[in-house]
Amino acid sequence: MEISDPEIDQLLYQVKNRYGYDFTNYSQASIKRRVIRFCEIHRIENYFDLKHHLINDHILFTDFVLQVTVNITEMFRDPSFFKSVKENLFPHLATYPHCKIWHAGCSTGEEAYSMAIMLEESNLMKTTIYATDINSEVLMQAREGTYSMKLMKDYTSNYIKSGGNNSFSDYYTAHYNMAIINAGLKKNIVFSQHNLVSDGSFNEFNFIVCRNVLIYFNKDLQERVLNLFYESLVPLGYLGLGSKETLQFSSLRDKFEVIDKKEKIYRRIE
Amino acid sequence: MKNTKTIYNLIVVGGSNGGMDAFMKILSGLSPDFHIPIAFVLHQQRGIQTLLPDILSRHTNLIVNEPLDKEQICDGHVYIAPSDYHLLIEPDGTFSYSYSEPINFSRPSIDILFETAAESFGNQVVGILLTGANNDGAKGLFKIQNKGGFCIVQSPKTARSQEMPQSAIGMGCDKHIIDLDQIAIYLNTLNMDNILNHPEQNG
Repeated sequence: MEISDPEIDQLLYQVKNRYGYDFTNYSQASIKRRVIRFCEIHRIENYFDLKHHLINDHILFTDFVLQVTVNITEMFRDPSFFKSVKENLFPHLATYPHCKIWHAGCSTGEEAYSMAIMLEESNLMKTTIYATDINSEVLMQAREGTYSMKLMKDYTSNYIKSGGNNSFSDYYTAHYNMAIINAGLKKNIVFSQHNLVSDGSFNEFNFIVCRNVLIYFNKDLQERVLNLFYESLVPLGYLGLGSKETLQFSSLRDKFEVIDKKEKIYRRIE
Repeated sequence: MKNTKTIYNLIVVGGSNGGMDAFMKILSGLSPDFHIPIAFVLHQQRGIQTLLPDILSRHTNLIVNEPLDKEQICDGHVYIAPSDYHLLIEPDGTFSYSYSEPINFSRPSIDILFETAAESFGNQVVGILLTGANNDGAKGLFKIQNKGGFCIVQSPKTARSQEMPQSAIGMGCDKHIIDLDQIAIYLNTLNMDNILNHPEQNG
């Protein structure tokens, strides 16, 4: 199926007016592919049908939000990032009586649980993780903390490369083909809905983790979100981005210093 | 004199099994004044720390790097897709990334690079599909052809694995089926045409 760029623009504009979800500043090539994929899944064959169904069918729209946003994630993705966090950030975070970490765009929660494990092993127990996402559906899965057993082999390998001290299997219980994350890891995590496109700051954080979310946004929206992060960080607070994301092209680059260039870890200067 | 020749602003290349050697061969054959930017997707095992830019740098004077998200595509660069992300071309001439599902069991997928290049750059794209043992890239190359771009398929007889070029030929991308050692010569000609036709742009 083919959709032209003006048609995509029009569709996203109408979605914004109808539902309040604003995808108009998502990366153009990327969002277009997601919309076409959504059409293929639902066997929608032309632009007119797509527009009609989407505007009139609220349930279909819920799935639209789920499909056009990319929710794929894993535990300890990029072990070198977690290793760097443990070595470079945790000693500083340990000097605060209480720490707040924000996982923005947490999807189904794997990264927030990975961080919770690292914090526990480093005895940084007085830390609260706020894990947010635009999607209420994925947040439900995140709160459940139940993942396919098949993935645990890869996650175990990631955990070891991240510098984990224990046995990864201590952190979940196997139940048939599912792995249930230990309840103890959940008690310091608050999952809630937050839309980076439209919502404002809701707390002050020592560390904001937002990895592989900005890649889906155009430069204007990236700028808005990075401003939001800047305002939501305490002075000398840290920001961790995905391995291909950068502050280099943003006007905010002078307000941060680089802590780890390769792992894209930055620190708010004052 | 008004020129009517197309100017090519982007070359996209895809390869799988044997693709690394083939691509090195092409890079080594490019003329010293080669300026058209090149983006390359090679299927590789996920999670492996990529040394591709370092290795490829030894075979060319062009600047070889993995682009950052929203990096502007610049002349004289060879951009290598990192492992485990899809690489996309945006209409404003920047790169973007996606961590969406693998396509044809591949992330990065050649189809995604080729299709977004065709969507964003239309007939200014040169697409090259090299050796490989699956059919990723054929659909994307067909799209480049449909949008008026220039399509090159490595001749199966010079390919380590024939399935990938064969799929593209099967879809109708059969105008320029070229032996591996001739591809660089073709590209040098396109590069020269760009310079002759648009001296003000490429001075």
